[in-house]
Amino acid sequence: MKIERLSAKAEDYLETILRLSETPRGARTGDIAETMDVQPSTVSAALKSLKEQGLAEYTPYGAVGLTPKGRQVAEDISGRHVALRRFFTETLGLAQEDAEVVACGMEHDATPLVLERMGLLGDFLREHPGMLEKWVKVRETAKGERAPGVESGLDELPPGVRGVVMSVDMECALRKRLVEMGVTPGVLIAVERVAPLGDPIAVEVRGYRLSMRKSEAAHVRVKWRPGLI
Amino acid sequence: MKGKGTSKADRRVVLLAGNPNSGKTSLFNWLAGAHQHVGNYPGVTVEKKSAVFECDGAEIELVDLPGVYSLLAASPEEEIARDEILAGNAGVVIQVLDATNLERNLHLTAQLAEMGVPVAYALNMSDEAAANGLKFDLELMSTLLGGPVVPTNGSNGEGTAALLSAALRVAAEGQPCTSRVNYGLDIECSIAAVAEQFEGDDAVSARRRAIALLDGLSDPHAPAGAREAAARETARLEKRGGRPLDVQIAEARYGFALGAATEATQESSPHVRRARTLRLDNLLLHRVWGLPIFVFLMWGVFNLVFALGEPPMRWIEAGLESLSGWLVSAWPDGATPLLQSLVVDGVIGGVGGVISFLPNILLLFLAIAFLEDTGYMARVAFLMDRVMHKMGLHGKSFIPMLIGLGCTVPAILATRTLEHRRDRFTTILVAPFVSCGARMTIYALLIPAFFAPRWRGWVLWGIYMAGILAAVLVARVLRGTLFRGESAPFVMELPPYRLPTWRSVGIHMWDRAWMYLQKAGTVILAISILLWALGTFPRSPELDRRYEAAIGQAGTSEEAVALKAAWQTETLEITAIGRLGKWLEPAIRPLGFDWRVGTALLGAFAAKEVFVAQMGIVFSLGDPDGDPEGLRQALRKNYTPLQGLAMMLFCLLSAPCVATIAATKRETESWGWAAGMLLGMTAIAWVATFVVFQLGQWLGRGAL
Repeated sequence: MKIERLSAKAEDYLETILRLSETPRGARTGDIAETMDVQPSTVSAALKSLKEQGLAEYTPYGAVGLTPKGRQVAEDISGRHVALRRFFTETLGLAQEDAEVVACGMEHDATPLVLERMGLLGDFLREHPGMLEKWVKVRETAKGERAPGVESGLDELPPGVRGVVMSVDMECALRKRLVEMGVTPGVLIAVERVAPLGDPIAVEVRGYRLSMRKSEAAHVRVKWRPGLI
Repeated sequence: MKGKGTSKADRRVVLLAGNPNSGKTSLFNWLAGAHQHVGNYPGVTVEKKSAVFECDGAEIELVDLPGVYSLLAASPEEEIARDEILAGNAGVVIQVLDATNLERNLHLTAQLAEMGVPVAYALNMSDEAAANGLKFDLELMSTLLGGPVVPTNGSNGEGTAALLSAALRVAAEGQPCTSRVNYGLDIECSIAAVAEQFEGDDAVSARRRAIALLDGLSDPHAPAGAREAAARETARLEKRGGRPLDVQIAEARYGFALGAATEATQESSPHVRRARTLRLDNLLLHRVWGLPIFVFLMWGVFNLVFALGEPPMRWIEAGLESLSGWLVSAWPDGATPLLQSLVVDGVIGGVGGVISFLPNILLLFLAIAFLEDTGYMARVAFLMDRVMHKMGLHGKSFIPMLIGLGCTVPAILATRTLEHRRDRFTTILVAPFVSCGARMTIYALLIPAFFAPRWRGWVLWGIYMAGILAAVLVARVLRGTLFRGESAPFVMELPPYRLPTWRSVGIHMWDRAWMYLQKAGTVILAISILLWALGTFPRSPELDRRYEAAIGQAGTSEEAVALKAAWQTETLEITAIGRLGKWLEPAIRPLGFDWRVGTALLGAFAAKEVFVAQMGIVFSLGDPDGDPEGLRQALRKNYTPLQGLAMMLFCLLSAPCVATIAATKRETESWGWAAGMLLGMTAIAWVATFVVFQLGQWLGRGAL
């Protein structure tokens, strides 16, 4: 069933109502306000809006309940939340509290495809303990130098994306050749096109064009920058 | 421009330096006019263009240095450029700057400034830069670069006279380039520390050598102290900078280049720049259309070289034929027939071997000059590198291999476009495996002789494929043995497309063709005469007398023709070639060949198509030109299809001809490689033919 997109806030209300309604006390306006750290009057206004959208039902001084449609949305959100939290703790190795915060932020925007791929990646690693072990090692030895932004070999820079050269670490002859052609750390670079047969690539650097094989470009580390060259 | 009455002492050496594609050579052509001389730098096949002329009463020697991106001496070109600049007799270096790509061009300036020589600058392509919306502050640029800057235009020669007089003024003052790259406090301290150790050198030279050592270049004459200091400082700076020192040095040089380019550029509109090149590349390097267009263009090149070259080639051959015919008829009766044979068969035949290639070679160099000067050659490499790299070659090897389908000699000459020695030599050594047009005449004789019509196409296809397979295998073996190591980097500029002037393409074409005539031509001529001698001596006057008498008594003309053919056969048997063929028989018997094939193969070394004529002679059928059916019948009677296949395989894989060997010698500057090619190819041909023939016999196919 397709549900029109709700605001992140509305989704949070539905999720909280769902969680509280599973307690013996049920979801009451005061408890909702407390859990979400807002004024009871704000909750009343929000509930009114939810009722108008046919997602929640309530009587004054009674427990708040969810319509079937509201329940579906709430369960969907809470499922996303759990999936994200699991991915962040188990696959990415974040601490519980950090994972909770990030999951709360991302649960509203993560598309089903993103969640599916995250789940697949987590399952894949669990099914291949050797890979998981290697990944955990890489994860633990990273020193946070990559944040923020994406860093990759120049060969992986998509055409049309600018990158800043971070390092040119490779054997001497190729390095000398690259730096004399102007591929030095700090310079802006962009992949202009890939040859029809898939290799080599043409890059734009210092106002002219240079071609190199992908295997050579792989040694040039670049940090991606948004925007065209 | 010209004056008179100068002495040798006034000669000024003016060096022309610059990046490839900066328009250096067309400026040279304008400055040098008709005085240019092309040769090679001693010991290497890097072209040396120079010109001596007079200007304002002084004698000028203008030298066009090889186009380089730096002076680090990493390639022969860089080494030569550096050595020529440092040789001490250079009055002034003119650096040609591509105004549309100032930043990278000034990286070379950063290195040139350290050489301690007077420098003047040609701001070339200034017209194109102006059209692109670029404006420069020439005065500021002169100050920043430490030498006069003169705007020039390589396509019409504008500004060249002003450039030369500015350069000569600097040379007369003798003031070395005043600009200097600041490498930053850290590196400068290290430079000073290393420079201190060069006690015998002046300040400029000490600084230059110190920087070179820190840049990781070897300097065998450097004092031990300097080398130790450099190693120490390098370790310190690399630890501190977190990256290799040569990278840090390049960063500083590019800092200088970017700074100077930015400051000297008054106006720029980067969106206009490169728009044309980008549009053309969108078409020519298109994901789908790029390759079909490329195939079409290559088809055009191939046809230009061979189809268009065919008629003039025939005229030359016809001309030489009528010349020998005239000589034979005009020769005084009975006077020294040997001399007549030498002149007609040896000399004219040899000269023919040289100049009948000339139309093809001129057209090839025309095509290559055009492809290079427009900038498409770099795209050829870009498009084909994936395939060629898998074969152990370089993207630019494609053109020589393609040309090899027509003729191996121009193919080997076409390897000039490859910059790295390893790629170039590998290409030269495998190019002869591609079946050339002359070998086609052998296949055309043998395939119909031994194979049923429905198999003929397949056999021909198989032979061509076998040649390509051999080229790939040999390239891979060479890569793993003689040319071991990392393949040369493919990092290559894709220059902007430019329309070349006919003048520069014409000069380019003629220079290379002239070198071919001079160098390869003499060798081809000499070996052709040698082969003539082997096919002529020793002679038997007694045999000649007998046949002459018999022919005189012959009743019918058919009888006389038959006798003449038999005479030729017997004569061949007693000549050195015939004897060699017989002597070689034990060696070639395992390949399924008898002495007759051996003799024909030896003769085929003069030119592959001679194989057919020689076979005609050994079977007493005369020259089979025109009607080869008789020869085919004789072949069918004497040999099996397997032997026919073995002959073709041997012809495919053995060294093609004298001209190829001469071209190899010419392009590698060494008899060693030429001899290596000859021996190597013969060995490969022997082994491959042996395996195929023996295997074929073992499989019982020999009886087919």
